[in-house]
Amino acid sequence: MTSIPAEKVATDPSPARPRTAWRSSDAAKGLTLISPPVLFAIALLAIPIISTFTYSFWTQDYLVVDTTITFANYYQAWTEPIYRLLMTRSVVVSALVTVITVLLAYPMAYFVAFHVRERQALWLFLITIPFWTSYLLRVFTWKVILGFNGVLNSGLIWLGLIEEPLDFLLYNASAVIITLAHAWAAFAILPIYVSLRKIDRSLLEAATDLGDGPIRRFWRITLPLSMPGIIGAALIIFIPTVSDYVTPALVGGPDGLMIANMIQVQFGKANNWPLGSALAVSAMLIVTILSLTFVIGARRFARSAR
Amino acid sequence: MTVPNIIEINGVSRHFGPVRALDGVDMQIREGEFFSLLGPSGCGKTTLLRLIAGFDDPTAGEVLIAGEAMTGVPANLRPTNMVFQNYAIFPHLNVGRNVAYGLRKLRLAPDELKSRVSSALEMVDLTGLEDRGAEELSGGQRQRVALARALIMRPKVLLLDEPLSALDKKLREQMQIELRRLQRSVGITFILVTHDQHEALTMSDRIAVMFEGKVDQIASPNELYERPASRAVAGFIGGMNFIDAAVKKKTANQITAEAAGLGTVVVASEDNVSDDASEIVLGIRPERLSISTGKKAGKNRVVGTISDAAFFGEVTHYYVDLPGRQEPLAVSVSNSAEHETLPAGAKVTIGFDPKSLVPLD
Repeated sequence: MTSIPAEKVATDPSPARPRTAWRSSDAAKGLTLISPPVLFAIALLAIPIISTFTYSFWTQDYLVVDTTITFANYYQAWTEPIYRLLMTRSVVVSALVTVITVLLAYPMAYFVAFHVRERQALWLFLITIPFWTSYLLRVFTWKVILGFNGVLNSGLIWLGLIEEPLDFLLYNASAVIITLAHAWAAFAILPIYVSLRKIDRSLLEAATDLGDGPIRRFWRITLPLSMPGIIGAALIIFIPTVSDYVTPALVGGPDGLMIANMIQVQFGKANNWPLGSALAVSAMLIVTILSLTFVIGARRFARSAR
Repeated sequence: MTVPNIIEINGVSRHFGPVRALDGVDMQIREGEFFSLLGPSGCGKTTLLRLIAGFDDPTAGEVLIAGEAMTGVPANLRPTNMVFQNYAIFPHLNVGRNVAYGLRKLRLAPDELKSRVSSALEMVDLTGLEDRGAEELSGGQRQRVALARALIMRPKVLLLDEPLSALDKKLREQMQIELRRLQRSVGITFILVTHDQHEALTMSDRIAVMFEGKVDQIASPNELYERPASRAVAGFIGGMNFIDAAVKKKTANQITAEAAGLGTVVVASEDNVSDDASEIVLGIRPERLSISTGKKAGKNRVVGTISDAAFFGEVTHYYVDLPGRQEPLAVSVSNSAEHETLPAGAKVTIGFDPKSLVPLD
């Protein structure tokens, strides 16, 4: 381009101008920055969820997929006893895992947040060390501990406390609960620790000053103010554990199987993707409803402290 | 008339490792008085307040509240309540629940609780704000909530830890007057920690001035200002000219000294001047010096030159060079209708009353 006289530039009602302005706007910069993760999320999250959702209304007969819309899969998923049993067990096991993990994690987070004066980061680092090994290895380790000839049984026999190995340790729902609670501990400690750290120490002194002993002060101030951390920890544990299928498959035995194992079967051996999709969508729905109920309830508790 | 002591501090020390935050402090605070702990940051005033509240234990010595030794008594069982520097309003509770927080133990009937809370809020001019959320309050309102929350407990002593430092100047001055009025009306002993000398002077019945973990002087604002016990106290409270003087003669109640720049002066003796001191420092407040044009030296009058002037609105400060003195002498003049501003370089006569000269260490 050759040079243009200055007055011409000034008077020219350039049509390209709004475009340039938009390109340099904050919104454009923001969208450019987030577009790779957004595309990634669409490819790996939105598309699978939409396709699962769509599949759940279709039917399949061996290799032929019938795309007529039907609620038959949902009817089956919600009425057949085996699916109801697996769904109930999944929710109960996850709920127990969540409660146990939060109850175990809270004192640890509390200790680090309030009683470790120096090197809190080191303590948190040490807490994460068990999680450097693979999830599968940790599950296998629990197999070794809880098994018929496992560490626990041999130890108890050696101590003379039992004569025969206990066979109720492994391959049932409680083995799943123990293994999952251990696997998710660090994920519970961190959010609770952060929320405890954020509590202004002068609030605790004010509560003491107004006559509260340590226990009452905990219930009235510390617990309600750490509720965001508890809610975070509970959701982080509850949502993934409902759909865990590795742990139940390895340590659950027939009585410890959960809904995710059934979904896996439907997508694999049973080759019934529509039913598997309906089960998955139902599970998502139940998890969402339970999580929202829990969040609302926990918030209400935090506000009702007096 | 003898007012009983509500608080006695007997030889209290608090050491943090090698740091002596408090070093052998003795203090008696009378029932119903507005008492201030004044000093620069790090002088131990907040440490002392926390020892009284029970958030910390003394390394040595003891604290008595209403005649009872508080050693081993935890903060929640002491008859004191505190207004914290950041107010420490419970963020998850509304104003009503914040104020009622300490009353829960009393298990009052709902009506009784409600009326107590509303009268406490009324006392601090927050009538009807019970349902306001803690996060929706302004700085001034937070402070009033903190006051109501502490006063509703009817403590024997109310402790205030720099309660006004987070407020802007105008609100701070208004709250100073209100706090004073509130203290008179409820009759509870207030102990205020502050580093602001104006705050301490305007509000207190008595002030303890502290430096480096020790109490330098405990006195009424007037006495503290007029007869400071040490150079540190004199310099911390208000402006003060320090004048080196050589003692020529000292009797039981009079000192004759040769003051640099002022000539021979006769001043009343003070306990803090040792009998064999040959060099002393005399202090005089800038507003106790008079300034007039012309050169008329004489008894208690000296001639100098204005080196600088600073205009403060209600007063003007002149800095006057005197022969025989390095530092210029600060003179504060009220900007009344008659006063005409004097230019720098003008020859002036400085007049003083020897009674205004305070001998310091």
